Amino acid sequence: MRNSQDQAILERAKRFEAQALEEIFDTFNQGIYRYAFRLLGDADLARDCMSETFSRFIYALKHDRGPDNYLQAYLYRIAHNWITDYYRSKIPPSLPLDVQLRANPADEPDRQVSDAMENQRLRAALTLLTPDQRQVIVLKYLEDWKNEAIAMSLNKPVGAVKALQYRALEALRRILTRHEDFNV
Amino acid sequence: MTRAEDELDKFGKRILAPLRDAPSMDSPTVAQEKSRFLSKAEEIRLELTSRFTATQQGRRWNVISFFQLRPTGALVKAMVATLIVLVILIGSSFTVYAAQSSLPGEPLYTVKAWSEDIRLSMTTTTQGKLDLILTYTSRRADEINQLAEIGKTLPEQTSVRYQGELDSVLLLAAEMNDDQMQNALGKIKRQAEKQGMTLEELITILPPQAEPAIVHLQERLQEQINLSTFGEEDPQAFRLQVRARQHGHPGTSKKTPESSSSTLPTTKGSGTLIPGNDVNDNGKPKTTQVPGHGNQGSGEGNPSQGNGKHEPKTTP
Repeated sequence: MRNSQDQAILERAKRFEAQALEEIFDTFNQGIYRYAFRLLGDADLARDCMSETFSRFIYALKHDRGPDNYLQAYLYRIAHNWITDYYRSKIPPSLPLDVQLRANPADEPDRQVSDAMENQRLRAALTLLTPDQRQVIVLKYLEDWKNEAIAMSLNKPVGAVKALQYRALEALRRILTRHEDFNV
Repeated sequence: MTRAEDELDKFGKRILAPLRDAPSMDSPTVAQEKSRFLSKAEEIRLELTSRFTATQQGRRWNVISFFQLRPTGALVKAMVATLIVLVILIGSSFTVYAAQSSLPGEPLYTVKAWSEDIRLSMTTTTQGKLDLILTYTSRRADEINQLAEIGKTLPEQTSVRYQGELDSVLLLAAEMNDDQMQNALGKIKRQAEKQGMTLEELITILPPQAEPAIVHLQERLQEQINLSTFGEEDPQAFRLQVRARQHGHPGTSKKTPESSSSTLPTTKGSGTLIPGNDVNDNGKPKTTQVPGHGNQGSGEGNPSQGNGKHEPKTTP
């Protein structure tokens, strides 16, 4: 969604026009959900994260603290903060076998379990990064955002985003190297 | 991008690839979440609307509650006192305003006279007082004119006030320096001439019984003209003359002592003893002759009290 479009729809959203709010939800709900799922590895948590993201968004509008533009970056920042808070307050979630098994039912069960464990370790490794490092590489390699959009989301210059990305991958490689199961 | 960065980029893509595969929410779940989100938004919208309405009502209630105060004893007293003061102030203002068009003999004329006195007492400068009294003398002349038009006779009270004002302007002129005095006497004379002409015209339409009072005033105006002319010629003598006139009040001498020397201008017609002119610069009696009206015989004096209160003169 372009910035001018964001501004127009946000004006309407601030007046709590149902149609504008519905349009925003329809545009971003699946993306937020998948983003949360990739980081959390849990469908229920991802759903909670998505739900809470939109909830925080309208409460921000209620108190005149909502965004004036770049709505996507704003929503992903909320979701990212929710996930960061979640990881701070909880130990990393246990292995969600059922979801991972549904992900690729053609595979052999042992292979499914192996992949699921690897994904969970990967997520656990991501949680060891700083929030900004984690968000940069997730948006870059999982959400396919360009550096400019990531910079907008993090309220940082593009150069800082690139530096963060470099440090995040270095850190991730170091973390995963310590785990012999990972083919780094 | 350097080689190290390129390698690192490839590592990122490869290592995170397993996480790219993320499921979407199923439609019922999306619909449920969407419904929840929109319900929450609607709740907030209603809350904001009701808060806005309450704020508006609050403002209205603030106004209403002022009028619904339970009156305590002190509050009632304060309100009554304020109301009385307001009524007096507003009523007085309207009364004074309405009184300005009243004529002698009417109930509000006293208010008019009172307001004029108040205004005069609030004027501090001699020049200001003189100008104000000259305005008042014009009013008196207008009042006389209006009374004549409606067929009413001139009350003595008004005549006395008019003459008192004529005396006052002379006294004020006497207090000024020579330059100011010249200017003031010029004004006094011009106004007296104008008012004299008005009264002259009035005499022609008045019934015979009303004439004496007007004629008397006309003579007084002529005296004013003569004294002003005298002052223009000899300011010092004028001052003495006017002050002596104020204090001495020579009474009602009807004769012009032709034998006495006079520094005051004389004109044809009757001579009038100027009040106070019984004392000249040398302490000797001094008289003058002022122009009377054409209907007066030469050498006839008019009674003059010197304080503006003239006895009516019989019309020949």
